[in-house]
Amino acid sequence: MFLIRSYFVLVLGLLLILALAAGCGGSSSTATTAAATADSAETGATSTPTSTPSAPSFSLNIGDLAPLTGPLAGIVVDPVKGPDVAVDFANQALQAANISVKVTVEHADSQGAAQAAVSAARKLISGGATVLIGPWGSAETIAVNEAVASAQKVPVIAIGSSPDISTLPNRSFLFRTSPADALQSLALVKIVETRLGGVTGKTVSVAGRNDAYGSGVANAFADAWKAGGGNVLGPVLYDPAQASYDSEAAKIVEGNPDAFVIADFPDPYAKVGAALVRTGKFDATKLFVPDGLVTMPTIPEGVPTEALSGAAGTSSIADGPSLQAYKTAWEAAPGSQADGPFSAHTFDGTMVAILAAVAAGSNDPAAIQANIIKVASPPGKQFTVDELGDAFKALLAGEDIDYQGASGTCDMDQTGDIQSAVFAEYKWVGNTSTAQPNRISVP
Amino acid sequence: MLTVETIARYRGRLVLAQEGRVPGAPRAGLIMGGAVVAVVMGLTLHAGVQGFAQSTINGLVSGVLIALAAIGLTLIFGVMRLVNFAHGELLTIGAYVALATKSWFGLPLLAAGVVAMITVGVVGGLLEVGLWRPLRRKGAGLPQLLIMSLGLAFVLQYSLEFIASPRPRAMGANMTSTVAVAGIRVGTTQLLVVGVSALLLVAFGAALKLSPTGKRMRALADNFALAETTGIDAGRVVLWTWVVAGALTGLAGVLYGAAAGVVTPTMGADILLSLFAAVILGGLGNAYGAVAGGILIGITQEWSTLVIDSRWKLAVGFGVLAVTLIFRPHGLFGVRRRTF
Repeated sequence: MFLIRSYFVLVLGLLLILALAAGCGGSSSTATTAAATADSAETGATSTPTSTPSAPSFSLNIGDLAPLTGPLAGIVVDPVKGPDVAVDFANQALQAANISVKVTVEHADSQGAAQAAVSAARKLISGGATVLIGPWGSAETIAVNEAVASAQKVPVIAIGSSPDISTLPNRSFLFRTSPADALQSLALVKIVETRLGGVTGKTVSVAGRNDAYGSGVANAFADAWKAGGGNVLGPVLYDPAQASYDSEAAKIVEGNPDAFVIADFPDPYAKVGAALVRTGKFDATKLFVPDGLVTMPTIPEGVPTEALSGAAGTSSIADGPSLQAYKTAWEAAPGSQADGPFSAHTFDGTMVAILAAVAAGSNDPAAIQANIIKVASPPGKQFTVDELGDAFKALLAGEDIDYQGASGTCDMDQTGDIQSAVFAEYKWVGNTSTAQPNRISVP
Repeated sequence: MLTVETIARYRGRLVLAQEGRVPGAPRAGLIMGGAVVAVVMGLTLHAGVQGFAQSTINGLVSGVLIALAAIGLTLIFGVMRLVNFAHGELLTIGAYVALATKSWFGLPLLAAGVVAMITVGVVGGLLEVGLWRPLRRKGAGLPQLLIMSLGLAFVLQYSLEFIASPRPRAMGANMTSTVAVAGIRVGTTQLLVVGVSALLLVAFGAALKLSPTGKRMRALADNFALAETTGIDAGRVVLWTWVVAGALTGLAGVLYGAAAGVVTPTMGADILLSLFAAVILGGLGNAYGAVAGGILIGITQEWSTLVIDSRWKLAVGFGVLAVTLIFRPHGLFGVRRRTF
């Protein structure tokens, strides 16, 4: 009897270990790189003070916070590939230019959750990372800024796009290559205005998931619409982890609005959209959505066609001077062939981090932080990724450069936010989302 | 010789003795009843008859689903005093088993639900035999078991995420058709799901009340040591409790997923707190109380959206729980216990 019981425990234990190992499969490879980069970080630290600024020799370990699991995992495409491609690209250019700087990247799962992103960031830093790319979500970005970037003085180049991030206190170590959603809300205002033939006197029902992203877009849109003389119903903000949204849906359709603006991700929009259709008063052709509900090629699983087909939306579009070079490098690299939303922004973030480190002549976090806005923004000579070798040489010669990225020109203001952005209008026709030819530049 | 009936009779006296009748109890009931009537009238005046009726229906739908999902949790607690944090994952496993059965074998959702029910029942039994029983025999106390269940919850959730990917999956039920009576609309699927759940609740309640195993479960829940000394094979009943709780929870997961339309690997973890609230509100370990607690929480949450921003509805649910516990620390149907 005792033997049988022990056997059960053994089998169950083995199963648990197997499950754990499977679940953490992605990070096992990073463990070895972490050890390797910890060594190299050490050599970098010792060699930096002795080397002359014109010929730095150090290793730069970039930490990448990617949403491999969690709510964002459903809408991103191969989120680790952008930094990977950028690092390969930069290493080749550094080698060709005969500069002995070696860049490595280490990935960690931010899980689309604030606490998980903070632990992942700490893990990367203790593994030797001195600059971080990501996280992608707004709530995670805010948490990482508070607990890691400003506390440990490590620069973070994030993707989280909530307007709330623009006004965060203590954000001198946080930068963004993605446009803040305040800009996206302005683009949304423009397409709604065009469709309704004006703002004045038109009523828009605004709703969104109750987090930094949803409430950020919803409130920014509501403010901009009201400022233009329009009427706003709501915003109805809802908890994203509920089972049903019938009461919320009833509120959203109340008052016969001219248009709906809903900021959400497919999870839980599948449930919200179904509840909206069930009210019998919802018309998806009057629906306008930000990037969380347009960047996927077909209507996501579970979302009723009637809840999205006919809707229009906006998404920041990569149209930077380096776009072609980026696309060629992306397609040549292993992994997903299709380029996902914000991949170009993580690529640019990684490039800016590498350029800032070369400009600083070291992998020291504070030195990198001091150079990020300098290499990304004017003044300075402009370089695309095709001229990366020349950009590195110019930096070593002590010149100021202005990086021209794949997602855009990457010009940051004094807070570290992108100043202007170009958005594409998307339309859900039938079951597919297609980018329209027109481009919306904001502000 | 002690029979089940003697135990039940003894149990009745024990409960009365433990309850300790409070002289002011009828007055408290009157005050509560009055408060409910006042709230209902106020909300009807505020939102109109139709708005109020609609939100009551919405509340009933989510309440019945919470109730069905909470029964397993309260049964396990009642019999074993185990706060099972992995309960949410049993729901999720149920939903995903049904999803897989449906897409691999093309079975209709209800048949897939039966497969899920059996599977999760077996999973519950295996967990008892392979994990909980050995742990208890080796002398693991409640804190260890509690932490173990928390760890198990994560292992199960991430394993599911690894196998099935984190993206939302559609259960395939029709989510857009509705039934409208006098301007009040309910989704057809929701109505079906609530109907099936209500039938299940009644059937389960009767089984718990009338079947020998149900009686033994209740006897163990009331006083484990006493019930054991009367000759109840505790190990056997505990195993059955896990199987029954697992089966019921697996099916609840399928129904919950069908009503929601989509399932994700975190769906069980997302509603676990609401389930705990229902269980505690109804009185820990009391299956009938969990049903009442679930429905009460569902209705209060939806009612609150008539006057408060809907993003706070979860907080309102827990507020009601806190206020109720101040007046009735053992929940609506709970009794004071000597050992805890």
